[in-house]
Amino acid sequence: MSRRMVTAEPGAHPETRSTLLEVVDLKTRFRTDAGTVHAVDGVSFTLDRGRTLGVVGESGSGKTVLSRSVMGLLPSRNVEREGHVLYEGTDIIGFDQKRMSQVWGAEMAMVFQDPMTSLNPVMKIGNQITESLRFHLGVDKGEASATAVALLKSVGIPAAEQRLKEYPHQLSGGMRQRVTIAIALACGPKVLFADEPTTALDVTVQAQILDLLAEQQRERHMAMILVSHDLGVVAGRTDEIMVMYGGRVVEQAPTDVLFADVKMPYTEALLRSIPRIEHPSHARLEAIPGRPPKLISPPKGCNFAPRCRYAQPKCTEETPPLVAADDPRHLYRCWFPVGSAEGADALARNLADGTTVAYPTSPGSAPAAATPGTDGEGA
Amino acid sequence: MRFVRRKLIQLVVVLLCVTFLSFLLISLLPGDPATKLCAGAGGQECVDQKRTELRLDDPIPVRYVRWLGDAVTGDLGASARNQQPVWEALTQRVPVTIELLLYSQFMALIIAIPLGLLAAQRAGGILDRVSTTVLFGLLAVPSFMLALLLIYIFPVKLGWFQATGYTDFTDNPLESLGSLFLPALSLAAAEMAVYMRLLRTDLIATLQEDYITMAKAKGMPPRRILLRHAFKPSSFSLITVIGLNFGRLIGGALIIEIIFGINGLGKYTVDSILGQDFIPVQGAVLVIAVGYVLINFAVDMLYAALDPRIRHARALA
Ligand SMILES: Nc1ncnc2c1ncn2[C@@H]1O[C@H](COP(=O)(O)OP(=O)(O)O)[C@@H](O)[C@H]1O
Ligand SMILES: [Mg+2]
Repeated sequence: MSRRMVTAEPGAHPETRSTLLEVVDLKTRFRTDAGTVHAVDGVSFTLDRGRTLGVVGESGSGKTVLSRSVMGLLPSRNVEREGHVLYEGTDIIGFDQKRMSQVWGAEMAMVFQDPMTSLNPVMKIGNQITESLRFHLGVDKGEASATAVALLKSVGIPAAEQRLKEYPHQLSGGMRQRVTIAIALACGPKVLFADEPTTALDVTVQAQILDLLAEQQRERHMAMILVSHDLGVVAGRTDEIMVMYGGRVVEQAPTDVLFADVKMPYTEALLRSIPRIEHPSHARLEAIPGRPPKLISPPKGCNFAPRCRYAQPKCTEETPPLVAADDPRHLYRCWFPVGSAEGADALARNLADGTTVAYPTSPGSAPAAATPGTDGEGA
Repeated sequence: MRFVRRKLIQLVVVLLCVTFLSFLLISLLPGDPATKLCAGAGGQECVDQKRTELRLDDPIPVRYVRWLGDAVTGDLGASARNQQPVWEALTQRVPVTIELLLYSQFMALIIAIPLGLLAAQRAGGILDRVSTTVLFGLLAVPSFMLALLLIYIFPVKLGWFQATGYTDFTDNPLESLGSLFLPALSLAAAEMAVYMRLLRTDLIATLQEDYITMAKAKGMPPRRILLRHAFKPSSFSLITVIGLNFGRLIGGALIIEIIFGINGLGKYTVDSILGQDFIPVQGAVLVIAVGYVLINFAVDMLYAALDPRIRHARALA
């Protein structure tokens, strides 16, 4: 991989709308004592240069495993990876550690969920930034320091020169996440994976960090995969959204298309659980009743059926395929989609009975069927 | 720095405690030094005279302060057997034992650290299992047995190294290290397994940390991740145990010094105890106790050097 300028050239977008990253039928399994965990089960997507893909799903739906699997960051033990990850046309799935270290940092970078744990507590911030500059770009110490200061300034850290000599614990959570962003951006990656970059942060700084990411992305013409459990976070900040459930993609569409015409009951439930200004933070996705699916020998049928307001006997028998809606870019995985005649019938039937296939014996208490209101009942 | 100041105050308090206990230890033993000094000759008259001379009838706190004052000015009394001043004997003996202890710790670490690093990188691999088995085998062998075995194999059968004796480090460093090679190895053998496993376990935990994945995601090579990112935060248990081990090793050194005929602190202590010569024993106990306290102070300082969070901690205990 060639060495590139660290600083972006604003406005220089030579290759607009060309594919940067293509993931084809990616599967990732963990071999554990309890059995095989199908954490990512056949995910495909395409990411163009400079575009943003949102990956949304509850905790445990496989978002982190997907990001790390695409980047090849999972440990090699007990992990099986299948499928293709085409980066600039080259399948990197078979790359060894040595070849990957040319990709990591320089081509693909990652911002982690929790800045309290993703920075090395016993290393100075300056060294944590400059080491990758020196490794990837081969610059000398002084040049690396100067670049580090420029990077810290560009991510909005005041007194950047001083910060170089400080340790992570001397900064607040928001400042630390800015530092991890600076580290990720240091060598000018073409795609940034942001794995719930604001989940661990104070509500007041969440928007600032997301704005910072958007701003850096624009300036650098960098593609981004923005992972979140919160559909509200990705709504205004992505070109395309992929909704994950139990390691599978259940709905995928350009952002505006998705919000105009939600097909998947799970996406609908997520939409209803977006925190409102009136009661922010906490109690977001817990609001969908029931538990996420087992990933070890999952039962047949749709894996959301046990929690679905629309579920019919067919849903627990046959696994719905990923099919296209009227707009061919809009894919979903459901037998009784929202907004269709079948879906409306199914919902009406369940509401009339007060049950679903998943809760046949507990009428009244069947939360998915009987109480459509899934907003959090207080934090 | 607050941390250092607090630790220094603690150090002074602990030093006062251990010196007082060392002082008390001998004062409370049956058969006071006066009787011992007059053994064989002089009778009661001599004993009384010695008691006044040594001012043994003063209250304990007064005697302690006087004793401590003498001790810090280098007067720890003299042996009853050969009249050699204890301070003089200690200045000859203590450096030998310090060399032996440091040498053995160094040996243990130079084996344990690389093995621990490699074993952690491939936990459950061949190297991990083989080194663990071999080192635990060594741990099971008592050091005196290993010492005898080493004497039998090297000096006796192969004619390598000397079986006994010691060359002063200041005379000839290389020869000195040669003369202590087998004694140090006898002591080190049992430590290697513990050190290696401690480092390995902590490293494996550290390697699961997010900041390690982050370093990997930056493209840092595995060796750099292991040495620059993981080693330092994984070394705290190891350092703690090394510090604690010095105390235990002094006990081990005692036997080893006798087997290899090395005139160190351990041998001095044993000889004095067997000769019911209390003043030297008191001096030796004092040196061991103070040395132990100082080593643990050094360990605390090392924590602070390694972990900025400890350096900057304010109200932590
Ligand atoms: N190393 C692992 N071994 C076994 N199971 C794992 C491992 N890592 C993740 N998983 C499982 O994979 C699933 C997806 O996890 P994750 O990707 O972290 O979810 P998300 O990021 O969406 O919250 C979870 O059920 C989790 O328990
Ligand atoms: Mg996650």
